Amino acid sequence: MRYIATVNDDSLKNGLAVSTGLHFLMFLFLFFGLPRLITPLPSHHEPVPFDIVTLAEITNTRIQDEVPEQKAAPPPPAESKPQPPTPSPAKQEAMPEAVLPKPMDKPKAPAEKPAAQQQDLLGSVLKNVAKLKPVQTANTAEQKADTKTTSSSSFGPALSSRLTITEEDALRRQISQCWNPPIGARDVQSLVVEILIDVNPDRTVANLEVVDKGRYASDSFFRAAADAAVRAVRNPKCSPLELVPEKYEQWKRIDFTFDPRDML
Amino acid sequence: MKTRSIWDSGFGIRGIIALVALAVLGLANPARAEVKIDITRGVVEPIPIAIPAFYGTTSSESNFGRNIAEVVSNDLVRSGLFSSVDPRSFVQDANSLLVQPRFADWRVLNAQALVVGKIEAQAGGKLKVEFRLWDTFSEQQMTGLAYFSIPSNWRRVAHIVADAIYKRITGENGYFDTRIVYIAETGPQTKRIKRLAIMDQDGENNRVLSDGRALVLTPRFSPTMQQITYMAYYNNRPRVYLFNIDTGAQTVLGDFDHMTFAPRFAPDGQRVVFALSDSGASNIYTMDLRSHRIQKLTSGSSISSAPCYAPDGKRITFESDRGGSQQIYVMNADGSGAKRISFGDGNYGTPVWSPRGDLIAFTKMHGGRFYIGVMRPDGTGERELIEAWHVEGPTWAPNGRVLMYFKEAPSSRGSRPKLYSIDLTGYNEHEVSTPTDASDPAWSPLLP
Repeated sequence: MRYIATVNDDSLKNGLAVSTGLHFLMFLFLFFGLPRLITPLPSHHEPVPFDIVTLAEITNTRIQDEVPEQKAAPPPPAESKPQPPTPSPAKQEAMPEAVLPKPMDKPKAPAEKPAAQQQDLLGSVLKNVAKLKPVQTANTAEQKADTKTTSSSSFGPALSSRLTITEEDALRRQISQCWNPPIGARDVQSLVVEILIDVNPDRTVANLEVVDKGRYASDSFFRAAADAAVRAVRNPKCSPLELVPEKYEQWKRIDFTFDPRDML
Repeated sequence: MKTRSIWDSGFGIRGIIALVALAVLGLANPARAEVKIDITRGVVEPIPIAIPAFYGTTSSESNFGRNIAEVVSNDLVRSGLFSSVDPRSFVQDANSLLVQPRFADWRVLNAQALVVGKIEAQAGGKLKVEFRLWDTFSEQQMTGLAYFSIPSNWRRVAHIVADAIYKRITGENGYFDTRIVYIAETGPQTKRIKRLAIMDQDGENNRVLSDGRALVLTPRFSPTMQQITYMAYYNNRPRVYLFNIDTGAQTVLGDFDHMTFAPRFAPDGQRVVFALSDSGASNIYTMDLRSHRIQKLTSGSSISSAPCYAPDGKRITFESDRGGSQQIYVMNADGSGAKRISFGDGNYGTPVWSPRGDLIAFTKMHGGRFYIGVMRPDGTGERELIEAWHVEGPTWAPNGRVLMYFKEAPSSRGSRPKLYSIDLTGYNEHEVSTPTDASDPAWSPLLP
């Protein structure tokens, strides 16, 4: 109202000021919006979960001869297929403690009194003669693998260079066949082991580390489970890893989680 | 409106900053694994292990080395968790193994673990037995131990070595250095002789403890190892007895006018829980072995029997027909709060609490067949491991991983029970060889 009065009083004298003021007001309205006269409807910003899965058949169709032969890769620095009997000096040097711990007359651990626990040991790989359903035994890895896993994050590399779910399934199926977890152990469902492996260009395992080193050192059940997982990725039967050579950049470091939940 | 709605949603600058930060983080961490793989299924198969004869310089040492390696191998293979790599395929001799195993050779044989041992006769007549357990894939020593013992004790040393290997690879305590008491049965069906016998868990060192004049039933080990409790008919009086393995002394548990039976030690070894039968009813009692004080835990006119403590001593499981049919119950150790836990078809009996505490093994009768199964102490997760014409009397290995029981098939020559063991997973059933027919096995704790 003050600006209008000014216009009335001083004619066009302050035209510039009026214009500036009105523009400023308009800018404020634009920036902050008009006064809230009507309560706006609540805005819904519920997240819509979606997963980018890379399907080889659809998105990554390419001509087979484009795939470079993996022979081009540098020579394998570590073990690959079982070798003829020639001990490698390098491996011997790499041997860790070859020393017996101090001799013990009676290395008897007192039989631990297991706390009364009601843990689940019963499940699909465990036999129940009373049930008529066919009993699952070994080779359960042949069963449909869990496909819930996704490849890396949405900020990862271009879709075409990422591992497809088919490729991930191939690797999962391969390692499943070499994984022999201690399924009858107490609390087996808690024995989830994460292992990071570095892979050589020839698809053999270069280094690996068990992520939870503290538990490895303190919990004999976890250590046994972790060792079983390590044996799975080190098993010559599962070497080299079933990976697409051209995607080395993607699989040079793999994060495996071994969780026996589908076997219980 | 548009501007404000973005502002209101809290997206604006903060959102942009977060986006940029995420992008930067993603790019700045190239060492992060790009591929994450969940493995949720594996295989269940024995781990191939190679156990060459332990090395010895003299022929006597070599003999011990061969025998010990064989017993270790038999123990591990019988557990069902290991398979033995055929010794005829071994390509490295015992002597050079001590210097350095050629792991690639052992991997060719598919040996995932390798045991390298050595025997040395010590001054004073003792044997030194040492071994190393190798992981042939990672080429790392998993464990290495040495033991000293008199030569005649070589079998026990082998069992202790097998226990150490089992524990390192499975994470669980072993159960090979243990013994079994059982009822050795001989004679015709009409005049069956039932004697108390004891043997190593692998069937060796079998020894009969009672002379056969009295009928002996349901032997149970004390957790302290010195004693066995059982029910026996002496002079036609069925009563519970205690037997000292070391001295051979036998004493009657309390002086009751009525029949006492189904005894079992409490986990502390200081009490015995048993059933007492009086005018058609049967109830559960405990007796303190030091004070001889008796406590009655159940009452009523039904038949309650076969009591067994939980490993923590706080609860007792037992069988009872108080609800009309024979079922399994769990109550507090003072007799309060009894609750039925078996609800499947048929009758349930002989509940035995696992030393791990997580399961109760039982015998079930349904449709003219017998079963041995396990369920959780709250009655859930029931699973039958064995079905047979007659199978009964489960007993747990001290690590709660393996069950032993007796089983018989219908036979024209009458009852011919034999002992068997089975893994908790329901696989790997084995007959335990005994010189005579055998029933009612009871597994000892690990030897002290």
